[in-house]
Amino acid sequence: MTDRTHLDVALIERYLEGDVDAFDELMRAHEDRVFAICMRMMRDRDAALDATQDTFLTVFRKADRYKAEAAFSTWLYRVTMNTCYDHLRRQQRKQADRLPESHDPPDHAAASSLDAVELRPELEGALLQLSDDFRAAVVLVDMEGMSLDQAADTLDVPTGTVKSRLFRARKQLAHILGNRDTPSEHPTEAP
Amino acid sequence: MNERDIDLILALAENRLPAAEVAAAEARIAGNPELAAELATQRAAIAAIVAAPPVSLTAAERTDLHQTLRTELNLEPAVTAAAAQSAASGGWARWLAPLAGGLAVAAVVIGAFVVVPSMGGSDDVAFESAATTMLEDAAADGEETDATAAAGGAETPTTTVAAAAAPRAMSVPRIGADDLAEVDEALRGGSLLSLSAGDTAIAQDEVLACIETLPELAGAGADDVVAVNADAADVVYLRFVAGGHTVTASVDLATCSLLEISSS
Repeated sequence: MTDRTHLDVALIERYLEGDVDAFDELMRAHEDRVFAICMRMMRDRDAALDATQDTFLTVFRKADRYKAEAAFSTWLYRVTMNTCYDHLRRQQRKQADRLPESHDPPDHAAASSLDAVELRPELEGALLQLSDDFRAAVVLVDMEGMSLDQAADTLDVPTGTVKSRLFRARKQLAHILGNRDTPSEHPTEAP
Repeated sequence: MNERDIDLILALAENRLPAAEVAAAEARIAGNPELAAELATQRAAIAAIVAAPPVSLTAAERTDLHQTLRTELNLEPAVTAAAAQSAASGGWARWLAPLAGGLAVAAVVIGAFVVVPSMGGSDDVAFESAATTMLEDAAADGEETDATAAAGGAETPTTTVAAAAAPRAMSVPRIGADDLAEVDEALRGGSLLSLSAGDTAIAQDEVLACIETLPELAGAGADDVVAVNADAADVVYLRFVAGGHTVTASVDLATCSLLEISSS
């Protein structure tokens, strides 16, 4: 285990014993990264803030279920990704409910450009054109610097699946950003 | 292109390949235009992605997030109740009940005011510094006492969830006068003992938020609060040093307005 992992385990124990300072320390250690993941997975800042809040609510409410065999950060980021997926599904359901059948699909690249001030608009637009699974692989590995194994743990999928998603996601991104030719294969996921 | 090719391309693109293997891998890729194109694509995408600037919470978002979580997780029931009451009444509810260790705090604070003037009436900086330090120490002691009590007498003086019901607070003496000159004279003359009627814990963050909006109090901080008016607890008295002068002021926190100010 790393020092950070040991520290997190100790902080969780202190939090469960009622030490509020431990809550503050855990938040300080992880809130920016959780928010960054949410920001890059979601479509706008408010949605990312909501997802961040729900992530930490889940984590602290279920802190007693955390098993110290796995790194706290792995568990936290898994909750983060699950929360983002939940929020994205809700967003998509709302959009589907609102739109008439003949409505054109949204142009994420255009719609998100004003909201996503932290990212270059063209990159943000390209990311939003990826499937949620592909985007998750890019966010965790390329943007948050996780190893393939860490990303696989976080996403609860085999490492090979992360590799496959990452490879195809980058290919699509390069195409969308105009750097490469059209991908020759359909962006479906390899097993 | 097979899975091994993909692994190789990914490893090269992400610079994960051991140095000793890079040359051979590059050569293998270079000999196959399809693989070379895929490697270039991967590298182009990675370059675009890593150029994205970092994302972080703003200070306001961070504060809101913490406060919401604390409320939702019931880490600060008293704060929530106080905030609700404050919203309704706009006054006294913002003041917290005296800390359990209040008497000890008052004794320390009074001691500071009695002892320090003997150092010389012109030594306002030393007065301020000593009083402030002792106030801080006393406040810290009070918090610790509360925490230990809330923990059911546990030996470790940790801040518990129950104890953390109080927001960041500091303990200051309550004084039974609303006249700044009298208060100032009492502070300088060390006669606070006769004016003191116990002590009151105040929400430091709230005081600071108000002070920051008053340009006349530039240079003052929440720690410069030296007393609270016992009859109108929204009124706090501050002493701080600015431009080489000791400034004494009273502020109505309910309206966040300056009541009186003097400099010496």
